[in-house]
Amino acid sequence: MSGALFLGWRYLAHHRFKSAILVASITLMLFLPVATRLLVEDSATALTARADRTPLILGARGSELELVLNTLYFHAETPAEIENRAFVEAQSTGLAEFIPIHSRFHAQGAPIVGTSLDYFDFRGLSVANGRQMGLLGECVIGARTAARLGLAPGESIVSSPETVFDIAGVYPLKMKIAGVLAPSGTADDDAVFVDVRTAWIIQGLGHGHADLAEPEAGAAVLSRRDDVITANASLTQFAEITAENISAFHFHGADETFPLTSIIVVPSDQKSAALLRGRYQDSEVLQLVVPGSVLDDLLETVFAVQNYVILGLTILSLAAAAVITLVFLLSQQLRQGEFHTLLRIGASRGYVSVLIASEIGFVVFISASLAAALTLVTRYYAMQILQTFLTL
Amino acid sequence: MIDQRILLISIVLLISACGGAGKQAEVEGASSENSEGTLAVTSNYPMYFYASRITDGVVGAPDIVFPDIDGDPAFWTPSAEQIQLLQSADVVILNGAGAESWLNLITLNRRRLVDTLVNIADRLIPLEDSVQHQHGPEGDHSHQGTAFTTWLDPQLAISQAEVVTRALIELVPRGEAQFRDNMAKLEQEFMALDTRLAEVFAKLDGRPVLFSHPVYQYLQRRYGINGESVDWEPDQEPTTSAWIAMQQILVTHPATIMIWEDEPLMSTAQRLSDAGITSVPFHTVANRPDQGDYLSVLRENAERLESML
Repeated sequence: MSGALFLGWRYLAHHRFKSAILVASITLMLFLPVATRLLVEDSATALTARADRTPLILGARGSELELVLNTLYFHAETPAEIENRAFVEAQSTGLAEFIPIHSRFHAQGAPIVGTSLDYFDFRGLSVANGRQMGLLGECVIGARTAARLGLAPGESIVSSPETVFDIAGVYPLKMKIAGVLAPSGTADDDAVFVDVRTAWIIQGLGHGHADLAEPEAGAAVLSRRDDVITANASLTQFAEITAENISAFHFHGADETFPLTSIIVVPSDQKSAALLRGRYQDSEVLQLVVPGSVLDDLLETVFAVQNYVILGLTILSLAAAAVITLVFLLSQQLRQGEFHTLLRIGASRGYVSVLIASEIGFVVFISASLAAALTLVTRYYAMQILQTFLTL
Repeated sequence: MIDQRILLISIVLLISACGGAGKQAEVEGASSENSEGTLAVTSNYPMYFYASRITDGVVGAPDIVFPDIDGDPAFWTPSAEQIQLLQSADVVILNGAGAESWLNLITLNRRRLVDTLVNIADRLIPLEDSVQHQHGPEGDHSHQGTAFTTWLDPQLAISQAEVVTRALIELVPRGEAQFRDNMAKLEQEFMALDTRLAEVFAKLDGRPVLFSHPVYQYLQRRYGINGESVDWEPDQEPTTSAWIAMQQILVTHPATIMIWEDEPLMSTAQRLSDAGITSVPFHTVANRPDQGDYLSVLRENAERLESML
C-alpha cells in the first residue's frame, strides 16, 4: 500500500506545474472565505475592545465616526476642534474623569497626541525605557514608533508642518524624548505623546523668544512706544525647548480658548454617565458619544459587506471545485493506459484506487495546510491591516 | 507607586545630604511615621508651613514635602527628579495668583493641583507695570499677572490655610476632626500675628515708606501703609538711574524708611542712611528660612520694624 502512496507522490512531483496550480487553486478556495471572516471578526473585536474600554467621548458636533476614530486611533481626519473651556467646564461637574486629547499634528509619520498624565493611567500604559514626560517640549513615544525610527530616550523628534506651503503657520518643534512606552498592541504604540500644552505650542498658540525688553533683543525691536514694544520679522522663535530657554516660553490668550480635538470621559458610575449624556444632549456645539455604539454602526455595515463578499467567494469556490473535479476526471481518462499497465503487472483495482486517492489527498492536504498557515499569518497581522484601512 | 515615591524622596534626600553640610534638606518633611503613603507637595514655604501645622500629630496624614528651591520659589524651574516627585504626589498645594510660573512648563496631573487662592480671586491685586509687545499677527500682548505674596496678609493666609485643610480632608477623610482642630489653632496664631502687625504698622501713622521690591502689595493693603515701591535687589548695588528714580519718588513721597526683602549691602544702606532713609529688612519668607518658621519670621519682622520707629 505504501507503494501506491509513493507512486502518487512521485506523480505529483513529476507534474509539479500542474500540481502547483491545483494546490494554489484549492488553497485560495479554502483561504479566502475563512480569512475574510476571520479578518473582519478579529478587527471587529479589536476595534470594539478599545472602544468598549473608552466609555464616552466628548467632541465637536459633526461626524461621530471621525471623532471616535481620531480619539481612539489618532489616524482619521481631524474632527472639528472644541475649546479647552469645554474641558474646564466638564471637569467642574465632578461627574467623571476627563482626559483631554489634541490629535492633529504628526512627527515623522507618527501622530502627535497632546494629552494629560491621566491618559497613561487610563490606558494602562507604562514607560519601559526612560521616564515620563516632565518639561514642556518633552514627549514619550510608543514602542513601534521607537523601533521604526530607531529612537531612544535622550534623542529628539521633530514635528512636521501641516503642509509644505505652510510658511507662516505651524513651526516645527524639536521635542526631546523622555521615555519609550512598553508595547501595548494598540494604536498607542504608534503615537508620540506630549503634554497638551506642547501641542498648543506646535499649533503656534505659545512660543518662546528673546525678552524684547532686554537690550540684547535690540536688533529685533521695530519700535518702542510707551509700554508697547513692536518686534520686526527678525525676531526668531525658539524651535526647541531647553532648560535654558524654557522660562521664555509663554502662551497668548486664555487657556479656555485653546483647542482640543476631543475629551475622553470616564464617568464614575452609570448615573453620572446618564447625567452627562443629558447635559450635552441639546448642545449645539458639543456632542457626547458612546464609542462602542458608533463603531457598532460601522461594523454593521462592514459585516453586511462581508456577507456579500463571502457569498461571492463561496460561489467562486464552488465553480473552482467543479473545475478541479473535472481536471481530476480528465486526468484519469488520460491515464487509462497507465492504470491498465498497473493492472496487467499484478496491481489490484484497490491499489489503483489508493493511488488515485493518494494524489487527490496529497493535493488537498498540502492546500489545506497552506490555507491554515496563511490564515494564521493573516490573523497575526490583522491589526496592522486594519490600521492601514483606517489610515486610508 | 508608594514604593516608587519613597525611593524618589530618598534619592532627593540623598542628593541633598551630599550637597553640603550647611545646606537645608532637599526635601523638607519627607516620610513621617504616621503617614500611610499619601503625599502632598507644596510649591512654596508658606504653603508647606500651613500644611505641616494642619497635619501636625495626625495619624495617617500625608507626608508634606517642600522641594529644595534655590532662591525665590516664584522663579523655580523644577529638576527632572523634582518633576517626578510632583507627578507622584496625591496633591500639589499651590499658592496661586501666578506664584507658580513653572506650572505651565511641566506636565502634571491637573486634577491633583490645589490652588489655594481660587476662591478669593476677587481679592487679588493686579500688577500694573507690565510691558506690552507685538510681533506676528497676534497684535499687542503682555505677560501681565497678579501680585502673589498673599501670605503677607494673615487674613488671606487664613483663607489659603482653609483650602489646604479641605484638600487634606479630601485626601484623608478620617483625619478631618484633627485637621480642623489644628486649623483652628493655626487661625488663632494668624489672628495674633495680624493684631501684632496692625499695632506696628499703625505706629507709622501714615508716614511714607519705600519698598525695595514690588512684593509687599498685600501687606500694604492690609495695614494701610503709605508705600511706594522701587525695584532694587538687596545683594546688588543700585544703578545710578535707580538712585535718580528713587530721588524722583522722594519728591512727592518723602519716605524715611525703606523696607527690604533681606539685609541690603552695607554701601547701599549707608548711602540711604546719608539720605535720611533707614533700611529695615522685612523677610517675605517665600522660601524656607534659615532659622525659625513662617510665624516667628513675620513676628521678628514686626519687632525689627517697631524698634526702628
